[in-house]
Amino acid sequence: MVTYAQLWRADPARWRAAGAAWARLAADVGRRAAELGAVAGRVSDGWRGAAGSAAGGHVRALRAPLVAARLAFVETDQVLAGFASALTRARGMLAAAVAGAAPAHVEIDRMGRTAPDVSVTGIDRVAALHAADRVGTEIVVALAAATNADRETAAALDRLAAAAGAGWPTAPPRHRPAAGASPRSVREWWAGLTSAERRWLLVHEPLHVGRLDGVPVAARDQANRALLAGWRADLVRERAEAVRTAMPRHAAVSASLRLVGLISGIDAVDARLSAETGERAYLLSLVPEGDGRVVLALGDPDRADNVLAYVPGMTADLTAVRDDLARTEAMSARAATVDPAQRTSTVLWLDYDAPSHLGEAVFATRAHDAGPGLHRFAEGLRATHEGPPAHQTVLGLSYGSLTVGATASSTGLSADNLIFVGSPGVGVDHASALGLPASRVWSTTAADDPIAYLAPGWQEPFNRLGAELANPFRPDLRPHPNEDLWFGPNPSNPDFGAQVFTSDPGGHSGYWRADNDALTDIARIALGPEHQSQVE
Amino acid sequence: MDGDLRVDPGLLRDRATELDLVARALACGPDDLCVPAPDWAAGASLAGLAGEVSSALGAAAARVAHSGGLLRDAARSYEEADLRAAIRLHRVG
Repeated sequence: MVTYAQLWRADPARWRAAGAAWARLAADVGRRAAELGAVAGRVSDGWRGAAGSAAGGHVRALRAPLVAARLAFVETDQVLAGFASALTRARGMLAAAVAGAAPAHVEIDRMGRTAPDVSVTGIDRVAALHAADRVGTEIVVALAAATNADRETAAALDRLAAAAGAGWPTAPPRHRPAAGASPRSVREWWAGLTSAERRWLLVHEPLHVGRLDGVPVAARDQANRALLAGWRADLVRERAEAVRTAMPRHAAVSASLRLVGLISGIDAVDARLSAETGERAYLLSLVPEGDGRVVLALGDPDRADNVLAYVPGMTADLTAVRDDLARTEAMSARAATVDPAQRTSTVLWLDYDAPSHLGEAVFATRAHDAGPGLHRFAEGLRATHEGPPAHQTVLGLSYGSLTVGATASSTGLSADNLIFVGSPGVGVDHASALGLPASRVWSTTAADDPIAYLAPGWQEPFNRLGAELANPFRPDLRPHPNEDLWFGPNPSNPDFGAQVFTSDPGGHSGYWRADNDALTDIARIALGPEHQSQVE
Repeated sequence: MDGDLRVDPGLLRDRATELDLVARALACGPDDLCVPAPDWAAGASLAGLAGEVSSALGAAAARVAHSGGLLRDAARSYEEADLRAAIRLHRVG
């Protein structure tokens, strides 16, 4: 059992730093494996013939254990980061218990034992005894949480040590799920595999495993991290080729700009994956094609109490991922601040072809096209979650709110709450059409957000006529927030039936500013009913 | 045998040197993988894991270095075979 003094002395940052060291070792070993592959390819430059071919194969075979080792080192980082988070929460619980002791006239000794404070006169002794029991229980709960985390972490590390001792064995899987199998079926299949079979899949088919909804997030993270350097190198090569060969000249420049943007986006993702502060990042998917797509979680959704998935809108893509990563980070940090005892994972879901400009954003096609993917992703999170179901929330910003609304109303969306932020309409007339109680649909639009003035063009003459009829001599022709927006009724209008919460003025992109109360309200909604009563 | 036999011993030695560099990098593991926390079970387990990994990477480094040695041996063998053949042909005159 972890002791009171031991938990006070615990330093989560050291465990997190050790995890980062394992992640760096993983990257280093991955580079060595890539170097072996390159050497194997070059052996034939100086050696043609049967023996030369055999030598190339021999050198290439040296890579496999290193690739498996790399995955194990990423897993070690996951385990240690999880332990650091658990210790942070346990220390937070302990601090909260201690902070509540003095006002209740409760003393705590060095062993963490509690008793009424005898040095204070004139207090209610019975109440102080009850308070001492309560604080004592809170301390025990914090110590138990730390003890469980220590035990689970030690067991996971022991398993990793045994695998290392055995040389990270691999074995091809005996069976596979059918093409298009549901995330739940994929989850069952994965659970039935041996660790050697899982390792084989991660070593030999990371591209497939990394994007497969129903595979646990930790395994997808291992697969996708292993691919990141290769994706970047391919883009650098492609850019060099585009610049060298493309004609006419402007085509080369255009291709080069897109590729530089994708490389920059990968670098931003890589930087967040390597960060030693904030919740550990998990890479669930990355597609370096077109404008680029990415799904990245801050905190492991499979082990979180709450999951908040953020669906961005127009202009969102891998090349501009820094802004959306910053918003995801802001929500993650605010949730941790509002309730440090809860594990909240915040996910950037940018796995659709969001409109790049207004010419594309006036049509709902892209939102509808995204529906099956978003539906499946949310189902996958449900399927792979460990323990009791997480409180799951999906938030759509701007055009992303249409994506969320269209998905919820058509294929259904596995969520306990929906949040619309700065919405141009969500494709339905009323909150009740979204497949969950209207009381669990939330919406906010800042007073100065121009999205609220985006009415379909055909309505403008009627708006003007209405103003002139209301006051023929001085018609009020100033723009007003519309009830009917481009994609349907404004969800921030009370008639829509959603829970409307306020946002401070900040235009269309100010919702995630640190001083905007909307950010705190978003965190409260994600944290569940206990906190939702404080949403304003 | 496909009949196309070409060997450049110098290039084989270059590859062997590259394998030596990879082996050396693998053998030099970092020293910040553990957390000195003797009162935590996780601390002891992490130290155990680091020990196993150090052994495993050391073994991998040895295999890579051995492969470099095989390339060097092959280069030398080809050169020696070439020399022996040349000597025999000189003797035949």
